Parts: sequence; C-alpha cells; structure tokens
Amino acid sequence: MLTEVKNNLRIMFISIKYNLMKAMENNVAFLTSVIMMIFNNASFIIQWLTIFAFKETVGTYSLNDVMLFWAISSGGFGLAHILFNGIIKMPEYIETGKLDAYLTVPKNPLCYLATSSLEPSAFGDLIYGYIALIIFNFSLKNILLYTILIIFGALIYISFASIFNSLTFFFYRSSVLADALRDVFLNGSLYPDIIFNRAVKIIFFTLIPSAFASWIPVHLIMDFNLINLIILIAFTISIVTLAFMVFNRGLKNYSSSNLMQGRS
Amino acid sequence: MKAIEVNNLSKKFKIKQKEKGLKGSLKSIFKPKYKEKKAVNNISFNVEKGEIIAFIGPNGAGKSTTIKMLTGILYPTDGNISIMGINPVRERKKLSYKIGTVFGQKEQLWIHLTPYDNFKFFGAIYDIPESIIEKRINEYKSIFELDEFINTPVRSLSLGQRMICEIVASLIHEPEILFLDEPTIGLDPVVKEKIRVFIKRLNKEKKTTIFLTSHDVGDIEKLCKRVIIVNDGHIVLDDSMENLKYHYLNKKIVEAKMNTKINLDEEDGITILKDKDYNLKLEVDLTKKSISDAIKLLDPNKIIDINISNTPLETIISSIYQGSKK
Amino acid sequence: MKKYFHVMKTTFNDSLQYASSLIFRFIGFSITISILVSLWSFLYKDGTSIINGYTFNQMIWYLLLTEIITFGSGSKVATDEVRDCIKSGNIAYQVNKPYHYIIYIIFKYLADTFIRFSMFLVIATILGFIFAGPIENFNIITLLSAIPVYAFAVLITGLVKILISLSSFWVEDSKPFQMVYNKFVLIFGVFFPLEMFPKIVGKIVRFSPIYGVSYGPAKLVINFSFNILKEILISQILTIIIVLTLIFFIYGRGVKKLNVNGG
Repeated sequence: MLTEVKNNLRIMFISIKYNLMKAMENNVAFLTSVIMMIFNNASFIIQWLTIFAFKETVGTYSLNDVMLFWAISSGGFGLAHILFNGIIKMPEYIETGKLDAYLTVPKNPLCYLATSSLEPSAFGDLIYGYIALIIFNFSLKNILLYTILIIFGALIYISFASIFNSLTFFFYRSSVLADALRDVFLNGSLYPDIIFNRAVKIIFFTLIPSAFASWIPVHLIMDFNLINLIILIAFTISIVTLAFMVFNRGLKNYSSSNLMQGRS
Repeated sequence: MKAIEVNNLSKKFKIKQKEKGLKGSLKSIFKPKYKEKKAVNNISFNVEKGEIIAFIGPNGAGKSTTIKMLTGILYPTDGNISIMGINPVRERKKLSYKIGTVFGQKEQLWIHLTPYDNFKFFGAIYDIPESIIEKRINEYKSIFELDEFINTPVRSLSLGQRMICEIVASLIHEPEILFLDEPTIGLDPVVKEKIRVFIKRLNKEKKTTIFLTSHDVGDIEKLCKRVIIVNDGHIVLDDSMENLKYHYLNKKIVEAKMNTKINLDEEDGITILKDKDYNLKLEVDLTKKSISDAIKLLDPNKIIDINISNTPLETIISSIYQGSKK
Repeated sequence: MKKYFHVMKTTFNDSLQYASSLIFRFIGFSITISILVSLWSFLYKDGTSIINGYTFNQMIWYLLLTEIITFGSGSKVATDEVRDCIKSGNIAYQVNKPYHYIIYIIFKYLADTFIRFSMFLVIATILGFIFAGPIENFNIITLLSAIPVYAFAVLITGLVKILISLSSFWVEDSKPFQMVYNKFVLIFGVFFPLEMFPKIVGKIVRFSPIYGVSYGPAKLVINFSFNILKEILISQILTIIIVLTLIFFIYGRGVKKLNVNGG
C-alpha cells in the first residue's frame, strides 16, 4: 500500500518535472504568459481601489483584508493548474479517447492524468498570490501559513473540477457545465464572504465549496483557529475521496471513442 | 494456461440520434433519442500462449472495441474475459504489468521528450529499477538501430520512428502479451518490414503472445498463423492461416501472353477475366477444372509467357467481409 | 453576399445543436451576475441611495447591460479560431478560397454571436427584473435606439478580438493579449461606469473602444438622451472604420509575411 502510494507520487513528480521542462522550453512565451497573468490579476486591485474610493470600509474589511481573499484564491488556483492541470483537460481526453493511454498502465489513472499537463500562466497566479500577500499582509507567519493553506485550496478546487469533469463520462459535452461552475467557484473565492447573503453563503459552503478553498483559509490567516483548520483538513480529504469515487464510477461508462477532431 | 480466454463477450453503446435540420436540433435538446448499438455481440475465442493471432474485420466491425475490453480500457456489457488468468475489469492494475499495448492512432509518448527520456519514464511507470531499464533500452537500441534518434524529441521524429518508439515503450516492462492495434498504419514498406521482423523475433525469443489488428494484409500474411475475422460484432471466421488459404485458394489466376489472337469460349469452371489484344486473364476453379485444362484451352503452342498465381489474400478477406454482411 | 449568409446559416444550426450547453453557460452567467449584485447590494445597504450619480437600480442595470455584451460576444470564432488558423498555417489555404477570409470570419462570428446574444439578453432581462425591478424611465425610443448601438457594440467587440488574434502572425500566442483587453473592458467598462473613476481615467476611457462596447450602450439604456445617442453612434462608427482598416492592413501584411517565409 505504502510503496504503491510512493510509486504513484514518484510518477506524478516526474510528470510535473517533464511538464515544467516543456513549459520552459520556449522561455519567451513562458515569461510572457506569466507576466501577463500577474498583470491580469493585479488589474483587480483597481476594482477594489475604485470601491474604496467611495467607501471607507466594505463591512469590516479594509483593502488589505479584501486582498487576502485574492492572495489565497490566486495562489491555490495557480498551484492547482501547475500541478494538476490534466484534470482540466479530462473532458477532452474522454471525448477523444485519449484516456486510453492512462488506463493501460499500472498507476492510478486519475493521478497520472492529473499531472499530465501544466498551464504555464498558472505560475503568474501563484507568484501574484505571494506578491499580494507580501504587499498587503506581510509577516513571516503569514507566508508560512499561506504556503500550507493554498495546498488545501488547490486540492479542493481541483477535486471540485474533477468531479464535474467526470460527468463527461455520462453526458456528452457536459464539460461546459464544469467550466461554468469552475468560474463560479473562482468568483466565489475571490470576493469577501461578507457581501453574500445567507442563501448564497450556503451554496458556497456546499454545492460550490469556494468557502473551504478561500474564506476559511483567509480567516485562518486573519485569526488562527485550530477547529477551523481541522474542519478544513477533513473537508479536503472528503472532497478528494469523492473525486476519486466519481471518476472510478465514470470509467465504467467510458466509451473510448476514436473520435477524429471535427469542427468545433 | 491460455493467454486469452473470451466467453460470450458483448458490448453495447448508446448512440444519440439526431434528426435532420434545425427542427431536429431543437428536438434533440428536449427529447434526446438514443439507439442501442451492439458493437460486439456475443463472441468467444481463446488464444494460446505464444501465438501470433490476427484479429481483423472491416471498419466498425468491433475490433477496437474488443481489443479495448481485453486491455481493460472498456467495461464489457456482458461476458467474461480472462487474460493470463486475470480479469481486466477487476484487476486492471495487475493486468497492466502483463500486457503491452500499441494503438497506432493514439500516441502514448510525451512528444516534447526524447525517446530515451520516454523509455525511462515508462520504466518508472512500471516500477522497474534504473539498471534494468538501462539494460533494456540498450537492447532495443541495437535491435531497432535507435542510435540516430534516441536523443531527438519525439515530435521531430518521422512517423515510422515514432511508431518504433511506441512499440519499444510498450515493451519496456517485457509484457507477456502484446496488443497491437493497427501498428503499421501509414508507414512506409521499409519500416513496416522492420516492425514485422521484430514482432516475429519477439514472439520467437521471448515467447510473447501477439494479438494484432490490422488492415494491412501484409502484416497478417507475414506474421500470423491464425486469423479471427469479425464483422458486425460477430466472429465470422476463426481458423489457421493455412486453412484459410486452402479453403479459399481453390481459385487460381492464369495470365497468358499469346502470339496470335485466339477465340475462347467460357467453360464451366473457367472464367475469362480479361481478353485484350494478345493478353488473357483466366480464373480457374480448381474444384471443377484443373490448370492443365486451362492451358489446353489456350493452346500451349501459342503461349509466349504464362503466369499462374493464387487469388491475393486481400481479395479473399474482402470476399469474406462481403459474404458475412447481412 | 449569398455565400456569407450560408455560412451564417450553417453556424446558426451548429450553435443550436449545442444550445443545451448554452443552458449551462446561463447558469454561470446568472451566478456571476448575482455575485456582483451581492457586492452592490452590500455597498448600497448602509442607506446610501446614490453612488457617483447612480441609483442601485441604475447600477444593476448598467452591470447587466454591459455583461450581456461581454458574455454574448464570447464566441471563440474571433479568438481561438483565427489564432489556430494562423498558427497551424491553414490560413495559407484560405487565401485561394472563393471568399475573403476576414469577411468570412466576421460573418461567422456574427452568426455565432446572434443566438448567444439574444439568449443572454433574455436571461439578463429576467435577472434585472428580479434583482432591481424595471429600468427607470425606459420607453420605446430607448429600445429602438438601443438596437443599432448594441449591434455595433457586438461588431466592435468581434473586430477588436479579430485584430488581436491577427497578432498571431508575429507572436507566439495571442491569448494573453486577448485576456488583457478583456480585463480592460471588464474593469473600466463593465464593473464601473466611467463617472466612478478619477477624471483623467474617465477621459481616456471615453476615447477608447471600451466606450463603444460597454459604457456607451449601457448608459444609453439607463439614461436616454438624443445627445448621448449621437455621441455613441459617432464613436462607434469611427471605431469600426479604424479597426476594420487596421484589420485589413495587418491581415495583408501577415499573409505577405507568410508568402515570404513559405508558410
């Protein structure tokens, strides 16, 4: 069991290394997309500066607090797309039959698939996360805590993506739903919890669990609390497990088409 | 123990139906209609260890679906499969150490890496110790003359070189059965031959069982001792290559060049395929007439050149395809 | 001209076939809108009735009326398709087709966008009534004058995206540039009317394409006047002429470069 986990992790590690080599092969393109992404994220500071120009505080939050939501989300999101971007491509793999290659090897197909791709611009997100943290909420303790918390964020986000992408096994083209929901997930985590009414909050704690990927980690940095950390860990384990379960169930429905890429 | 045992295997797919035009599009959104298609319909066969078997059939016959069920990619709707005693559905991981797969139309390699890095990667996938991987890579390097491109990224390789690398990658864990789905598709004759020679050698030296699908008659003729032909999800023929040829080769083609024009009348058992200027082409049904009958008919004194040949395997196979169509 | 309409019809059919996938996009759209509505509700909650000249009702409608254009013209024809066509070198084969590639793409984009846009319009209207009630002072003249303004807005959005995609002749990937443009529109057009910004920023926005594709059309609907209509139409038509000229110029240069390099 333990060697198996170790062997799986080893393959994931090698895959990520190879992906990195590929991304950096063309370093001009790589740097361009990373820097563009940093600017892209930074542009949202303007959104909040504009709001804080006519409001002194948003609820109890200052600009620094709001930016913490940005830092956590951007970091977790970036990490997820660096390590597990294959999950995002899963619908394509399923629809075109590319998944075959992941099923004939003695490694966990979901793990192997997850690390089969890397989105270079995600480094921009990750770097921006640290930049935002350092500018608006710098302390050594924060940086350390942040580094741990975005790992949970990344796992929750990618598990959520995986669950909905696995629906492609059952419904053709359902990846559109998954894309839309991922967008909502991200939006939910980027905005401070305080602006949402109760009903919306419930959605973000259940169906679209942005709260666990962003709100809870943000509050852990603002004001550390062991119980919340335990809740976060428990939730992460549950959603990761669920992602594996849904994928494995979906495999039974896999039809491995020889679909030629037609007009899209 | 048998290498492959298949009993009453079936696979059904649901296919979404769409009516023509705009109206059909609208309809399919609200009331999607599905049609059930039996891609594989109750087939059974066995493969002995060490056999090279051709599994062939026209497009859409159910070949790929079958091979994918055998390799654990697809779940069967019905029936049993046992590969070296392993059930592919329940023990996919265990199975993967025993089998190698090459799908001609689906690449498994990382295209930005060199073949060498790819082989090392696949070695790691199968948990093979470094030193053994190196040894095997060296072995394949000399067999396939990989030297000139083993350090070139896969995406810069030719199609043939890529296919060779795909095969090597799938053999890095020395599987007991190798599944090859269209391994020579789109390759030039030299590479095809190289691959065929290697497969033969692999079978001979390592006793690897080979399960091959191909549209290339050359692959089948040169490699396989046994053929299974599927059509419409059914097995229509499961026989040795020799029997296939014996049963279907009771027709000979006689081509002759004459020095004067002669007038021929068709007889029962001899069909005139071509009669142009001084060139004649006859088909002789050996169950009714002998070759000497045909030569006599031509008048041996007037023959400048003569060529007697078998019906090409390709023609035989396509006539079986046609004959099995409902 | 007929062939271009045929292109439109075929694309029309295609997108209908996947209308079911559009339904999922609506869910995404609705939730994105609700999040921003949550934000504004929260900002107006403490008794503020007007922020920089906008009532809550106007602010929500402003948001919806600008988001319709963003979401409605999110067709991949003007972005990914053009980029991929250039990157794959297929554009070389388009040159000797019996139509002009650029015109083909514009029509395809318009067809793809037409359905999307209409559907988002319906959804946005419903959402507007739910979140903010009817638009204050809305009448038939507003409606009629909004039609050409919105048509132009959609066209400009597509044209700018095509223009950015054409950069693929020279740069590795045009996607980051698309993203930056989208962000500019989002921050300086969709999120806030230009009155919210410092004066100098507002001025810059007024003379950029953002004015014609977000602020202008939305402002016209929530606060109609003939003066604004005139101003917007002039801005939009000028933008169309300038961007179209640039597109044809750059396309010509790109194709020439392709010929020199042999594809």
